Amino acid sequence: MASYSIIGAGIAGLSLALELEEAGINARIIEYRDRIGGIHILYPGLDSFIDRARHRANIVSAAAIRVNGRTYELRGKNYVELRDAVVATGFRVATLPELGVYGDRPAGIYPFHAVLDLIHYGLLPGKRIVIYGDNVYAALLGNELTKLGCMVTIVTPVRIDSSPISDVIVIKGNISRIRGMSRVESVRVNGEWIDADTLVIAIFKTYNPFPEFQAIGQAALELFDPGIIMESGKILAHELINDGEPIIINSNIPIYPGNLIRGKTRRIIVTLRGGGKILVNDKEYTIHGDAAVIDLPKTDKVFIRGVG
Amino acid sequence: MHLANHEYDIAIIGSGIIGLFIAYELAHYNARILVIDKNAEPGFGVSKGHAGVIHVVQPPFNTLRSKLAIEGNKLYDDVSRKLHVKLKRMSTILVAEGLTHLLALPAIWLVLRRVYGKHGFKISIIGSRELSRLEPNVKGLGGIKIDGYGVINSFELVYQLYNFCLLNGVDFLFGTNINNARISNDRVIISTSGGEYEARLLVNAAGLYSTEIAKMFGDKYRIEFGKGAMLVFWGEQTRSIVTPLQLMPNPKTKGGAIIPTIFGTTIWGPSLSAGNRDDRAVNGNDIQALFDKFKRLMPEYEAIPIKAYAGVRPIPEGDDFIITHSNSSNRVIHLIGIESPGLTAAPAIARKVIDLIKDSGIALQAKSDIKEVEPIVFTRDLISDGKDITDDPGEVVCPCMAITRSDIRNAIKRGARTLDGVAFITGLGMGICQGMCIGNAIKVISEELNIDPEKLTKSGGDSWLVTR
Repeated sequence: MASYSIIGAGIAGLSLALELEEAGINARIIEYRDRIGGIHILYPGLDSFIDRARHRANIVSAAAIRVNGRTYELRGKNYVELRDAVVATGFRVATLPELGVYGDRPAGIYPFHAVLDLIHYGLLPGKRIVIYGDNVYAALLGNELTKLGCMVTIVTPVRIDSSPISDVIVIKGNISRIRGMSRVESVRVNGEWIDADTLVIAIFKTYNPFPEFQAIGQAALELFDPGIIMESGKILAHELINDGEPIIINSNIPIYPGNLIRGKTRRIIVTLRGGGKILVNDKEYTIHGDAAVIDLPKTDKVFIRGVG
Repeated sequence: MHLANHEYDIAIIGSGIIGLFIAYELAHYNARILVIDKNAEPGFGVSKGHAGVIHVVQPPFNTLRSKLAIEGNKLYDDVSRKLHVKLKRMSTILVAEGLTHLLALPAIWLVLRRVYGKHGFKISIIGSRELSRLEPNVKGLGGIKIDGYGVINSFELVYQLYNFCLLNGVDFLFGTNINNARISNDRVIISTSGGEYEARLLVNAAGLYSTEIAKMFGDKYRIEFGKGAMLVFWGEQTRSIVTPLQLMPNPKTKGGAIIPTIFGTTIWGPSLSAGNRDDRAVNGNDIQALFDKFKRLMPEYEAIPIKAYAGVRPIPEGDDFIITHSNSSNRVIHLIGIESPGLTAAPAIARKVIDLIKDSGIALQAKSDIKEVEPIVFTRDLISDGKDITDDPGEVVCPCMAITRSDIRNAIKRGARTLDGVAFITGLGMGICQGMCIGNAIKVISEELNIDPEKLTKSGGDSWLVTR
């Protein structure tokens, strides 16, 4: 009987596990942190889903690691090479050189995920915090740190999803430099120095650390919508079960999980930065945000085209 | 007050690669040795800012620097074996990018063969086919291949030297500044932020601060500070050290290469620019210069840059190492301007210093019971070798580099007291995620050090990490 290992107990991994369980397929989630929910623990409205998953999914405390180009599950003293795994490790954080942020390298520069863990352990990364981020997670973390008594400034290079932000200063711009001998003293934003003792990087990239396996959620898709992230888990569940009729898709825009669909959900995720109109066969859809879940028409071949 | 336990035969200022290698050599003799460093851990000065390359011959060829680099290079296989430090021997390829370079290859080969060949380093011309066989990612018309280089895990080297010294009775004082030092009745009196110490002889291996220590004995040296920026990429790009062949040496673009590290990452650099002692900031210009120089060697290759950092090196007047007795006393030995290739030369430098110590009239008697250091074995090494994990490694802290709680405990046992110390020994947080695990790591390191997380620092001093 088929059995899958899912790497990561974020909402994508949890949703895949639950969907597989429901279909009677064995699935276990490997999580190395002592909490689940990944970067969505601050996201409003997801608590009940995460709680339900905590009780229903088979989550084991272990880690997937890569040694000499092979992927192993390490659990206590035991390690075994992983097969039939799905990667649900989520976003990685953009590196400072990728963001063009240079200067000193003092203490107090944290990737987003590390700050969530610190808060989880009752610790704070600092008191005067600049968050560099262009997404709803940056805003949510800003709120949380403000609640915990920190002074927070969010610097966003493009835009920030609307989300109630109280007592948080938001600056549109870019960070170019960090200054500080031992600890962060200031960061340079739009050519001006802002005093801060902490810089949190909340700009994300999709990344699959185990490329021999298929990825779901934010390990594969640059999306910020929890509904679509969970949907990617469900869609992949049925692709793995292979419980539908094959559909071949010809698309000139990026689609997930791929050009051949075999699951009974008959669904795909279309990503289109900034939204827009697309044609699915002859039917027009409008995509709001950066992506949408599309129910495929009942044909065995589907054409998808961006419009305009 | 006379404090017997503050008396030593030899005091070494500086626990960088140079100070440590000298202490390592001295630990083989019956002598009381003290090493003093202002930093929180060994190797936190000049030594942490380099790329880990073992060089061969260094131009200018007739210098002490070049001579010691050649000797040092040849000692490294032994050092690596004895101290269980990962060393990978490899070639350097100077790539001919254009037709002019290609036409010049035979002449350059003739010149270089005389210099390199004399010292036993093999040098050959390679054509475009051989180049693409050796380095599939590199674009070029051919090149010159020089054998005998290497890359080493310089962090492992630092901590293994340190542990060898500890095992064999060397004392260390960290976080300790030198306020003053003087000669009195053939003894050196060293007044530090941690009290007064006496030694029969002092070795000044203080790196960027060596001229200040020298001044305390009336010796005047001038050094300039050179900043070298490096860009680290995730993954291997080349098998050899690769750099463009330069016909006209241009000081602005001199040095640096594409370097495959021992950790499976790749370094571009270092660049070289004038700097000052306390400035380790990386500038956008430095990084642009690295891209201008190296990107054209690998135009097709896409890699993720994970980190940029800079080191500061002491560049001496006269552009050569200065290793000498003080003008005022033969009880003081200065090492001034030990810059690149100081890592390569270090084992040979240490032997030279031992000779100078003997010249000073200090009798050194070889010890009979030398204790050897055990290799540092991490969980990933056991998995890599297919061996059983016998002790419970605890939870995985950093999945990118496969580091467990027991690996952190192991690093602490080897002397790590700070987050950087643990990171240098284990590789924690040095993967592509650049520290997404660091929140978890701060908790575990604090627990293993048995301190409040608010007391843990990145690298000592005011580099606090968390608050409440």
